[in-house]
Amino acid sequence: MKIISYSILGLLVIAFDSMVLKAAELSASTSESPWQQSYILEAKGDYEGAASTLINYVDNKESSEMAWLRQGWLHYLQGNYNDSINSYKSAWKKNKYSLDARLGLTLPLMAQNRWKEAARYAQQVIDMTRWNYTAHVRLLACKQGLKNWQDVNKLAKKLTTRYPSETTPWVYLARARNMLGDVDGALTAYRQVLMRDPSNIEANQFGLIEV
Amino acid sequence: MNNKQKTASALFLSAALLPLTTMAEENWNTTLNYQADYGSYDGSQLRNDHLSQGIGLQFNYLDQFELKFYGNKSEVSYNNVNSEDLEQDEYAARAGYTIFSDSLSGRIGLGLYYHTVDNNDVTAQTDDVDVWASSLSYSPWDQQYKVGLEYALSDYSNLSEVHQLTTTFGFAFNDQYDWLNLRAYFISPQEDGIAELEDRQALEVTWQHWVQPGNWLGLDSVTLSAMGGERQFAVNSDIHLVMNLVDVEKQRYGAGLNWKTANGWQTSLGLSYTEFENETINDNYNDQLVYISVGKRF
Repeated sequence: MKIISYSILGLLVIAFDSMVLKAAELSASTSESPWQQSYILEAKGDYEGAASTLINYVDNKESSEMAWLRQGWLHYLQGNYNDSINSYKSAWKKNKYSLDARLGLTLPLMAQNRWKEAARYAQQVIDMTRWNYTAHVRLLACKQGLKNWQDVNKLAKKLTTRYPSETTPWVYLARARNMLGDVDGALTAYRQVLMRDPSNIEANQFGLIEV
Repeated sequence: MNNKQKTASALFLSAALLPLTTMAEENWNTTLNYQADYGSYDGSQLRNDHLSQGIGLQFNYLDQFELKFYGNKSEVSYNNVNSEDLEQDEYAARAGYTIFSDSLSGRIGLGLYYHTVDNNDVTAQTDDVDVWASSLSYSPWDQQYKVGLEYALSDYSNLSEVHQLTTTFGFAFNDQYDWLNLRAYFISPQEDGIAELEDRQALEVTWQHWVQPGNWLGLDSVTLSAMGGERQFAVNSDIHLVMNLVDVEKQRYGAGLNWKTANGWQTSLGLSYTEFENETINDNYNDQLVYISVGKRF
């Protein structure tokens, strides 16, 4: 009997807690900051809505650097690449040391296949930080877009020694070696890929064909 | 050299100084190029051979803007030893601007071209030529294909005005290691009182294959081309070509090898075979040509 009473009491407590949480959620939805709304809308896939909630932060003289970075990202997600480029450049004007703005710029430029320009910004980040991983991977993508396999080979090789546990540099190294006619070298690199990512489709396919 | 030629020459020389200012700016690329060709006429009643040399200067601002200058000097010798060689000077400039359009998901290319020709042609028919051309092109972001339209107006001061509409369609295949380009020429001279001047149409097909690096010749790409139909007074602004020749071009076949090095050197070697007809004297002949081009990107 006592057990049943405790159980009923426990259920009541849980139900009460749930009601309190619901009430809290409802009140939060009406008092969310534009930033919070923006992140929630982005998570739901409403990128246009996510960008528009921050419009007051960019549409004035006191515009915020973070709002421009968000606009750059959200325009990129919508496929508005020119707006994305302009937003990232506005963020850069606010902070000339910004690596985020430079790395952000590479995204819409790469989407437009403007490899040389994207490579320039990735290179700037590398010049400022030396071994920034994201900048290197994007520079690799640009060099691949330009079919500059010699550069892909050199860069990827260096990156595998700096970030030995990462899979992506090994994939680029394997591709470059293959394109440069070094099939054995490519196979060695793809084996390294499979150590890090055993289900990697590209490495598995290459192994099946070449071995 | 007339005043117009002097102006074109001065413009070309002053443009040659631009690299000094642009090389310091990392967004700009400058390419200097020298090319020469020699052709021998086979079966011609009038012509013997020809030789030409040219210098090109190209400035690129990333993928967005392009400015090209080109100057060329050529000589044509005749079978009749009493005929004076034809000497010809040409100057050309081309500006290109690319709009990156999100609404069309691709690149819009706008181009403007000018080409002027001065020579000592005794008939004066091919002398004092001004060509203006404007072009529009589109390619999607992934550059799997490209469509283009160009209108050229050639003003032959002592002969006729010639209108040319050129349509191009090119597409990539084999993971973009191959490109096939089709270029259709619709040429219409304005003067209709001269028997040799008729509307002409031609189709040119060019195939370029990029060779995988590490090949034994160290090649970057190979090119094959063929042209059928008839061309007269044709303009190809991509290669600074103005065919200021009254004779009709019947067919053409060409092949080229291209090399590129990591430090910016570009070299091309090629040959072509072209059949011509001089309709006035019913003279059918061909031109067998070899060319070399050496360039350096700074």
